[in-house]
Amino acid sequence: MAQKSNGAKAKKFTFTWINALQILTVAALLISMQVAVSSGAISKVFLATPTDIVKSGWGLITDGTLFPHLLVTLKEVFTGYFLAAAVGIILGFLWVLFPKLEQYMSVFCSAIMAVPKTAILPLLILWFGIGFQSKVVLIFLFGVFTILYNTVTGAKQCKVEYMKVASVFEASRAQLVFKVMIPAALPSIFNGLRLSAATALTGVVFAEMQSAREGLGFLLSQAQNNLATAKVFFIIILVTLISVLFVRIIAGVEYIFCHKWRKV
Amino acid sequence: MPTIQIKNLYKSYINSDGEPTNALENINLEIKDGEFVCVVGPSGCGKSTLLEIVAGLLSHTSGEVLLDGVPVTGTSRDIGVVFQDPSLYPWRTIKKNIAFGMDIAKIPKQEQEERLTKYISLMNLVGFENKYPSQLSGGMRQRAGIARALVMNPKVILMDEPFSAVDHLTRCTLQDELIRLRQEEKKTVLFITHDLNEAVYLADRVILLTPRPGKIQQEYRIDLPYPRNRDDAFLTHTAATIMTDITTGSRKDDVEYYI
Ligand SMILES: Nc1ncnc2c1ncn2[C@@H]1O[C@H](COP(=O)(O)OP(=O)(O)OP(=O)(O)O)[C@@H](O)[C@H]1O
Ligand SMILES: [Mg+2]
Repeated sequence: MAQKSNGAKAKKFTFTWINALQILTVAALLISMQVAVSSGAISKVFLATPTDIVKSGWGLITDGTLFPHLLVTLKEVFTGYFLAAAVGIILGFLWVLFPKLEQYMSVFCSAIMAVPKTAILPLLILWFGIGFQSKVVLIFLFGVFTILYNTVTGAKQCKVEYMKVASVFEASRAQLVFKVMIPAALPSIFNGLRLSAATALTGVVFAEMQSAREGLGFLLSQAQNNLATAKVFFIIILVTLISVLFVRIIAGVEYIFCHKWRKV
Repeated sequence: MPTIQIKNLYKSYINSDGEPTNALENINLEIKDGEFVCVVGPSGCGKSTLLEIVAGLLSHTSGEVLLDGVPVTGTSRDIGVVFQDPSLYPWRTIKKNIAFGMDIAKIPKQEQEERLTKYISLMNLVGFENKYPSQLSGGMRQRAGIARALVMNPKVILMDEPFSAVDHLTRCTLQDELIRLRQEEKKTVLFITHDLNEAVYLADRVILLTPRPGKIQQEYRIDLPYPRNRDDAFLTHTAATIMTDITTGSRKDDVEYYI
């Protein structure tokens, strides 16, 4: 019998004239930046030449300034994100198992969720200082609700039929959760994890720019104050790359868990 | 003693607006040990409701359902259920899906393997053990759903339109497999279907329900040995009789309910 292909395999990449056009566009952009700034048409304060961006980036790496700050930011992001994931997923399942708990808590959660997180930064700094803790709490708040609500939706959407099958075989509550609800909710949970991974870095960089003595956001605002525009560009690019990489890592974990049985 | 006894069974659902919907009215039915009973009736007449009540998945409003003389209060390992949509877990391989009930019952791995080998070959799924449901055809998925129920060796098997989603040829094959299985394993079967030809081909007895609220309208005995011939004059005649009874029986009601 013919076997259906898995569907998970990536399409082979072929280079088309559209790709060529895209590369040309980027090259044209970079060259015009270079020319515009070095000729003085645009002031160095507003824009930086690509060569200056690379140079200042290289400088930050070689003089040892970058890595301590990078490390601080990564630590804050991962700690906050990990806490948000753990609390969001576990609380999500508790809500589904004990609907009373959801009834009680959901109004408070909605209220906290509605508060713009960046607006409570001053409070967080007051309570947790300008260091590690306030950033972790902020990232936690940035991510936890997305993960929580995605988990709850996923677990609730667990098809009635799946539950019926489990109850025909007299699954216990724990078996129901671990063998049916969690696997059924995985796609939705990963959706929440991916969404909050994308915002986690935004949160921390913003917080570090407001008040911190270390971290990429701090470096960024320092560069801004010194009108070191090339540095600003470099850090923005770096932060973007980290953010993309982070989302990719989560997608990779999802792939490991799910690729065999569904398209990821 | 009959395996399943249903006495004066009533079921009404309470809708979201608080209004009751009567789904079943005064059902009385006895299914003997080893008997194969088909339930047919117009869409929405309460067939699935009846099956789920017998399975212990749904509570009834009044009356009694007994399994070997004991009231059914919840699901039981003596009853296996095959659903219309096989409802396999997409994250489990076929083999792991079939083993699901045994995992839940914490049956030792060694015994699991023995039973799996038997039912995987019985249901013609050899070679597909490690595939995922999305990689299988509808007929194979349905066979896996049946294997998942059989592997627990239940006394009674309840099947809710198990073959309605597969093509005609596969359906015929599955019907023959079911007959063979039932001969070999001596199961009591309650089988729900829309297909009258299927009902008369499979069953010792066919029960016709009226449109909602479902009452038993008529019973038909099919005292014909297996294996049967699909074109058997008695079978086709009985199917035609049931069809006529459905149309005449429901003419006074809503025409929408015709099969
Ligand atoms: N949860 C529910 N709440 C309210 N009414 C329901 C519910 N489930 C079923 N019903 C109603 O009860 C009646 C019987 O439903 P049931 O699913 O048993 O019918 P059925 O005979 O299996 O139909 P089909 O042949 O289409 O599968 C239907 O009219 C349906 O609208
Ligand atoms: Mg039904």
